[in-house]
Amino acid sequence: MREYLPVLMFIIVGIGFAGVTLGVSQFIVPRRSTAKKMAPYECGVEPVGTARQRVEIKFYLVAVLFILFDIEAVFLYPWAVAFRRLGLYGLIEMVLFVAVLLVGYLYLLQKKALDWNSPS
Amino acid sequence: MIPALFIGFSLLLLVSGLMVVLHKSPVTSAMFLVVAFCALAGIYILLHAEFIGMVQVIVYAGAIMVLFLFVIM
Amino acid sequence: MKRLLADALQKYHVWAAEHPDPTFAIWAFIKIFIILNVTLVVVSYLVWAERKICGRMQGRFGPNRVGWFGLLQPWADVVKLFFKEEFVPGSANKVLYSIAPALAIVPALISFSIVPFGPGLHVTDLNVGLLLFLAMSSIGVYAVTLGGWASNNKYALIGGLRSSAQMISYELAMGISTIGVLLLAGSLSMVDIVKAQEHTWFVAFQPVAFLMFMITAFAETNRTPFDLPEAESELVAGFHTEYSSMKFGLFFLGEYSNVITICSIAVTLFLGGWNGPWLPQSLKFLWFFAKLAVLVFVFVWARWTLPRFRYDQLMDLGWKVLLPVSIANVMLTAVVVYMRVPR
Repeated sequence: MREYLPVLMFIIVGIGFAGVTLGVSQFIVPRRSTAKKMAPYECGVEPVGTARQRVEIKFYLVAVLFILFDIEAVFLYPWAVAFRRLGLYGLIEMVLFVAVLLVGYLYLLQKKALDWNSPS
Repeated sequence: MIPALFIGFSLLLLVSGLMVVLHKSPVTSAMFLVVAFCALAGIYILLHAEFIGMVQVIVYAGAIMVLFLFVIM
Repeated sequence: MKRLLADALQKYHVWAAEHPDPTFAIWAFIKIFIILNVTLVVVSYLVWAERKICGRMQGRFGPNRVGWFGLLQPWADVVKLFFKEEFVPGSANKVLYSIAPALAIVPALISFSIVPFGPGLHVTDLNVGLLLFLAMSSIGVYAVTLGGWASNNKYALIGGLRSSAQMISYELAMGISTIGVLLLAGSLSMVDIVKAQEHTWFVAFQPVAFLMFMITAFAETNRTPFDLPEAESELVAGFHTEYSSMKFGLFFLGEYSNVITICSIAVTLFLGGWNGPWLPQSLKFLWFFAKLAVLVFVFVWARWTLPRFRYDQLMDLGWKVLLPVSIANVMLTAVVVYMRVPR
């Protein structure tokens, strides 16, 4: 329990360091802003349209699939640590678990859910 | 020491939870929810459930909130 | 004089024996402070080393004007960054715009608290140390996403989204490739993992996992060949287009700290940490730094040698190659460990 205190201290020190750096830079930075400097950068031409474009659905798919496989990895961690005590039963169980997820993964590949419109 | 930490984490959790509901911009609400989950992870660690605390950050704050952000943005 | 010192040391030992908790906290704070400062200096000199090596690989000298061999270049860069004009774009979300750089550097620094630099030379020995590193990787995704979104700039938004999708895709393969090491070591604690490598480094048992960890490390830190989201020729500067002065400086520092953090973790997990022949226990940390230097050199070497992946090639590699190979590696390692462990 006591080992977690340095992590908390490190978090506070890290946030403090970032805060101090940003705070100090606010004071010593010259500010000569003009209207042109404030406009969003678009390679020198006038910006066209708003920056709040619609996000493509592909990113949402990637995030959902990431959640699924991340949870699989999270189940693999305690199994890996306790592996030697679990014997054959634990091994077969985990192989079956991964096989079920593998079926889902093969379905994913077959439905081409992760094809990013490669220029062919 | 541990009661003080518990009170600190709980206050952080409550305040960020409130800000999730009260703030106007959805992206800032999502970020407050991330702070709430990190405070919750701290409470899990205080309960000697360190694995669950880390998994809370990895899965909830790191994966599910990224999904939320992708949808909200 | 000597008697005074011996007296003070004696008094300290008595006080420390009676108050173990404050002693622990104070020592932890001292170690954290040292690591923070050393990390910042090492990261600045990593930038110098990269520019020198890059220059030599391109047939020219790197920076050599500011001090001998350009060794004062990082200080010049820091001073320049502090005094550059900074402007927040007019329609940006000011709070998130300022928080994103802090989110870039803080997780990279926190991961240093579990790395064992030498026998007994670690800030803390968590029983779930490896998971802390993965948790900090997951939080690092937000820096990029928020930086891209808060700038209110189309290039930044596209760069930020692409980069975060890339980082989460490769985080999977990175997490799963460390499970092979866990099967061999039987513990999530970094100190235990290093102790388990006294006779043989785990890279001998898990070469595929090591290779995958390094490839995903390139992708996690947005380094070439996976740096499309911040590619200069493609997207201006990707998610940090609208950043200047110290906010950009923090992003920059954060990227290089991430490189050093991931290389430290790779050395601890696969290359035996501080284990090595010939040196006494008190000097074993030199082995750690030697291995770290080799890995960081590989990072710099790859950046200036390899061309960049196209985005769909990058995502294909992450999902269709690295993920199945890492899961297959875990299953194979599990079967082999099961067969060889005496029951």
